[in-house]
Amino acid sequence: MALFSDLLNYWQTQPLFWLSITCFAFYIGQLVYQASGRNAFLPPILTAVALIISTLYLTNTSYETYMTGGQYLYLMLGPVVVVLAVPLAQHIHTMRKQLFRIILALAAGSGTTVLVAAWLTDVWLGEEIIRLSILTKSVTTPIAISVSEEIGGSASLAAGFVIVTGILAALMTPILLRAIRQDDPATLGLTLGTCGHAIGTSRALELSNQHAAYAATAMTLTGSLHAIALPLLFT
Amino acid sequence: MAGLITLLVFLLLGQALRLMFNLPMPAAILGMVSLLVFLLVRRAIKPDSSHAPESLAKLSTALAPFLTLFLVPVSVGIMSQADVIQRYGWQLMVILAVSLVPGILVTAFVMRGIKS
Repeated sequence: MALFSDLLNYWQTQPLFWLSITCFAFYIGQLVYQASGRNAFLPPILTAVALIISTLYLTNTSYETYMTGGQYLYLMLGPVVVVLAVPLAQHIHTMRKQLFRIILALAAGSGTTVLVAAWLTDVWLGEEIIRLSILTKSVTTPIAISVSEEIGGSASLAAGFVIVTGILAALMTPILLRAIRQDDPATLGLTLGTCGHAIGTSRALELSNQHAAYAATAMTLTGSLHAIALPLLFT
Repeated sequence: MAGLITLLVFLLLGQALRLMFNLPMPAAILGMVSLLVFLLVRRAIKPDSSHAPESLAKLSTALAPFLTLFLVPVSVGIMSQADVIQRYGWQLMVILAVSLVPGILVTAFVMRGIKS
């Protein structure tokens, strides 16, 4: 009979093993998020990534080996991005009277935060690859990853910036807008989606369906806008 | 099944548009925008129809909860950027937090300031 360590060695070479580890880690992430009372600092993806990186370090596995399994989940991002059009078509229809100011607000807001971030990176850190990767920080991760590759940034850094931005925006937006008394559902939802993409949108979902509809629309429109504008401006 | 076929057709269309017109945008975005145009035109022609064919709407609802799961593998890649995080970690946190403030304020003020 083979030893358990032999089994582990065998598993490490199997794509299915790393794919399963990813799903297990994400499930644990969801459980942690629920157990913490949906703490904004503990989105499932953060726990999942921390668990997987720890596992890879402990088993001395390279990222390349991990990706033999991870690539199958990565491949699914394309289909998920395409079906974002379905809820967007619905929301565009119900919000058609406000569409002009919605687009103006999200374009101005997301443009401002990205330019400020890129400018700060430039004057403070002066690293080209970081500046290119930070440009996609207010775009939902599946879009950020492909756009970042397109304009010469690092997809992994971009994903990291997007997640941190989402967590910060979900925390800061409600506090800031309440302080200046601009926290009606449309404005708060829209700002959460524009600055905090998917993580901001899930925060909006906890507030109300109206918050969530504006957030989801803002997230998808901001993502599409940046996906079209950034490659034109920076390649 | 019809929903899956529609999805695949628009994904392939996105890749075709990208290659044929030499566009710098990701194929999935081009596919998404094409599908959006298709859905909006469909509704403009038949105003009483629902926002999307039923099978496509079902697929969209089924896929949505998995979105973040699909993002995990590429986010794990941050481990290969450990040197950047070690060198610039706290500066990057400050940049990300500070740059959000004008973004949040501008979005809210434009949204509130313009009457539709």
